[in-house]
Amino acid sequence: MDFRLHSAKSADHALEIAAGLKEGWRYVAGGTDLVIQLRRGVRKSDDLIDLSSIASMRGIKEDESGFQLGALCTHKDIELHEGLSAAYPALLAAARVVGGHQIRNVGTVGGNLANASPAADVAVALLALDALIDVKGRSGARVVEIDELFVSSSKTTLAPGELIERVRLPRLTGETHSAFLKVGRRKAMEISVVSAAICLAFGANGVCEKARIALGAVGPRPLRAKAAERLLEGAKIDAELIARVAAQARAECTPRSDPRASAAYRSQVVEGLVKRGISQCVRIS
Amino acid sequence: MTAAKEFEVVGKRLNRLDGEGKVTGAAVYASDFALPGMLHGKILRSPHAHARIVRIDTTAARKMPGVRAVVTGASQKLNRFGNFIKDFEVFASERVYHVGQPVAGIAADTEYAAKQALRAIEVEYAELPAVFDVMEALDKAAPLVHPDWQSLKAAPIIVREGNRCSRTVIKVGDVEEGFRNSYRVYEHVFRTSAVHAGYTEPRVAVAQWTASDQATIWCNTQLLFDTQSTLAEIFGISPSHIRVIVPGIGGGFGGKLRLGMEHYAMALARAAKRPVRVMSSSEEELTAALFRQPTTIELKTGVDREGHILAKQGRIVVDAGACSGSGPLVASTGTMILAGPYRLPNANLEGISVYTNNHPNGSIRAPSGPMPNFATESQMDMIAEDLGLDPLELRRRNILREGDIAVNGQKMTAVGLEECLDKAAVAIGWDHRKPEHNRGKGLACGWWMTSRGSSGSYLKLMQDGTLTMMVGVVEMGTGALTGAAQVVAEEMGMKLTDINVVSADSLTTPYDFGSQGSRTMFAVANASREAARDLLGKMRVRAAKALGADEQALAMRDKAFWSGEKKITFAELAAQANTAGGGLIAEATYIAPAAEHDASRVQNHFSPSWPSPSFHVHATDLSVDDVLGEVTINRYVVAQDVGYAINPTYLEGQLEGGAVQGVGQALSEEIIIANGHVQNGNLTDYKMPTAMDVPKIEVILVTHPSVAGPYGAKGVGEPPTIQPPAAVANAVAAACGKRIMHLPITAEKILLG
Ligand SMILES: Cc1cc2nc3c(=O)[nH]c(=O)nc-3n(C[C@H](O)[C@H](O)[C@H](O)COP(=O)(O)OP(=O)(O)OC[C@H]3O[C@@H](n4cnc5c(N)ncnc54)[C@H](O)[C@@H]3O)c2cc1C
Repeated sequence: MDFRLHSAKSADHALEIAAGLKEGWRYVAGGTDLVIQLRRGVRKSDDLIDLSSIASMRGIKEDESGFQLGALCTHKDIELHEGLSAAYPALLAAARVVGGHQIRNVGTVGGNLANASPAADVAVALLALDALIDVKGRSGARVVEIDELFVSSSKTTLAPGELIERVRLPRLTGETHSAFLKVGRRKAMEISVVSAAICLAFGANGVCEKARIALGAVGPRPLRAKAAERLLEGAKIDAELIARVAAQARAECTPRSDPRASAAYRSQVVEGLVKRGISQCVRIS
Repeated sequence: MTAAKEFEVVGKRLNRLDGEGKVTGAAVYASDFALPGMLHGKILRSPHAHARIVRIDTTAARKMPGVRAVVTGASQKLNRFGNFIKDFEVFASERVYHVGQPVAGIAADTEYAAKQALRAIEVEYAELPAVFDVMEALDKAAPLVHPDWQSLKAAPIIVREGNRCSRTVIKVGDVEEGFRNSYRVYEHVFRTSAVHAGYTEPRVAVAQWTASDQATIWCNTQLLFDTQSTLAEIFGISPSHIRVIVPGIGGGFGGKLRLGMEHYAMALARAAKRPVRVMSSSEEELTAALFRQPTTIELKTGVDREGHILAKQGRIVVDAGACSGSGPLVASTGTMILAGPYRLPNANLEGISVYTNNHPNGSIRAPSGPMPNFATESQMDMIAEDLGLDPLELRRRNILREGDIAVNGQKMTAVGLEECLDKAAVAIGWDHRKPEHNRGKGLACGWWMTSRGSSGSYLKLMQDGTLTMMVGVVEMGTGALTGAAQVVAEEMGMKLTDINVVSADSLTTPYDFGSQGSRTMFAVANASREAARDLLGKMRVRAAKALGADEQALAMRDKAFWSGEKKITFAELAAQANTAGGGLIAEATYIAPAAEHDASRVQNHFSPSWPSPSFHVHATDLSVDDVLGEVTINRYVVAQDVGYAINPTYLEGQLEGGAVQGVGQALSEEIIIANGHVQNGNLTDYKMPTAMDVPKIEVILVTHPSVAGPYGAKGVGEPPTIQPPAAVANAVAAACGKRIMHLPITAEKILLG
């Protein structure tokens, strides 16, 4: 591991530094994904642009439209923010099971998204919450719907040089409930073997108006089980429907076998998690 | 002995002598140790499981910036070594026979420079056929891991044949007859996986040659004198010319019994003519350390209608890896664990260790304990279930009690097993074995020994009236030396803090078998106690003279000898002796007496007698998530017959820590190996339990004093890691009906198995 570290003072400064560097540079925020990749030789970078002192990318703000999380928000910031965690239980549940306290104190939301691991916990929760990603590049700023962000393992639709400035969470209206569940071999310091985030909005009549089912570590990217979502939307949820939805969600996954778990286990468990996640949301409503 | 006399120091929850430094961070560990001008060494390891080395070219590496020395198997003539068979090479000479085998070493100004230079070494390999499965390795047609096995020097007890590197048998009665008379016969196969010892501080060594045939090594070994003699053997120099010092050790758990980095540091330091430090990275720890051997265990047990065991036949097959290491010992002792603490009229138990092209394995805390215990104790529950008996009751009908003859022909004394069983069952609430859906309780019995081996102790009375105790073991973090010091303080009428402990220097301390085998406190305390008695005798003679009184009439209290109102303090005695009498010192040695056993029952057994056996029962209450397969341990109880608790606090610490380590092996830990390559060689994917995964461990101390032990104490350190896999497996089966026969008991196995 051998690199030059460039400290960026602002988002524009970061873009400017980036423009002056040869290919192979990377942004670094908390470094909890990147440093390990560099150390293990999975990735090589001669230049790292350190985003961590960009004040405008820190903090959590709330307005009528919802919440805005700076990309440098740590998992601990989310966990400790009362308004945010009350509004989005799935996000709180995801943030508080990332690694251990030390990792949560330094790992950031932006890093969790940009690293684009199919197992990224907060990314999966944000996917269920329809987060909007504010992205900035040399050619200007743009907004990316989170579902459009992920391509495949460690690949996003961010253009070269583009950085994530902040994440916006639309205010949830009416009767909306969310849940996040994760399975791993141990109860902390664990990369998800499978994760599921569910967000369900209900109408006054108890009918599910909008459903989001986001799944982690069961495909090349954090994915939405869209056909399963459609089964829920417009329906009154009962046990029989939950079972059908879970089976459909399972069918939308393409899990792999790796030393952490087999594809067969992931398949079976994702169905269980979806069932449980929906039940949690329904029980609360 | 338990209720009899009030003691002042032993039996008390006193703070550890090394506690403050370790808590505040002031303590120096081997990994903190540095010398001026010290270089850093790195090791190039084989990427192949079996290959011939066609060519090694180090020319480019030698030219890299900061590189001071490069060593290969060809550049230094180093002798082979090994616990029982000389099948280890420091650097591979002609062949590599496992992935991760050291091929070359580099010493450079910085660790980084050394690492960079490793990449510049060119090695050409020609791959050879390899074997990874123990059962396949036993096949006559399998490739030989050591085609030259017959020419490798081995201890006489070792019986070899091709890839099989040892065989031990215990035989009692006639098992065939026993099976014929049985109401039911059960046959099962169990498997266990490799696990890492889990010490916090990686293995590290700093070596400095002080003359062409003399070197000093600062390292974190558990065994000073074994390290000394092994290094002497490798380098062909006299053991006393090698000084081994352990500045401090961040955990060992058996993983630091045998050479870690010492030989590499020494070879590199010799080539570089500078001190060299070598420390393994966490990746090297998880791919190239001595793991607990994986095993395959076949077990056949016959019982009568009431569940009495009539015959037991079993075989533990130990995957030694590419070098035998402690495999033969583990296979051998494993037969005793297969027998278990039960009355067995007929038994035929075999332990073999087998070479494969997997990474060499070694001994971890209770080296042959958890694997056969998992098999035996799982099968006990399976038998109970089939017979419609309570597993607790089945054990009650078979356990060893006072005076019973164990499988090795040894008459059992101070047997606290039934008390452990009763107390653990009550504590866990055994009467409600299935308190709710998907929740269940399980228990497992076990026994272990207090290893023998010599200890010595030098004592000197200091001029301030304190006592310095010099012993050749390493304080591994168990509190063993605080325990031994408590014994000495009790004997001397001193406070614990009056004892100054000097340890872990092979030059200045007496020989010791080392920090292993649940014997450290036991043996060191016994030797030191003997020395203390001798010293007190000498002090008494001087005191009597000084006070003009009769020796027998002297009273001893408050660190002084008294004759009526007249006294002479220990400090005065020491000052007087130092100036006019040559000083006050004493020494003693100790080795535990061998327990009598029936030699006709055993063949090639490494530990046929079980000195001061200990007995233990673990019980757990857990829940299984039927959707995810995840296990949550609700409660965990350890009841252990410890003989006597010299310091209950550290004893409890041992039992808690051991149980946690065992729970890791039960549920989550495993070195996953495919074709000799570790698949999870990092701390992300090697899953030691976190604080979230283990409940509070509830400890029950049972005390049936050992005649040989200091104040009746038995060895305690290893046993608590033995029972968790079986206790957990039995509780999982009780909770959800799934019987897992292959460790670890992962959620995946529970759900899909
Ligand atoms: C022990 C341990 C346990 C872990 N456990 C979990 C877990 O349970 N769940 C989980 O999801 N993750 C886990 N992680 C992974 C990691 O901590 C998280 O993904 C974290 O959120 C990454 O954030 P970071 O700031 O450290 O990213 P970095 O490592 O700094 O960056 C990661 C990637 O994102 C890019 N990047 C960072 N910020 C930006 C930005 N603003 N714009 C564009 N690109 C950017 C970097 O260039 C890099 O490629 C764990 C890691 C460790 C070491």
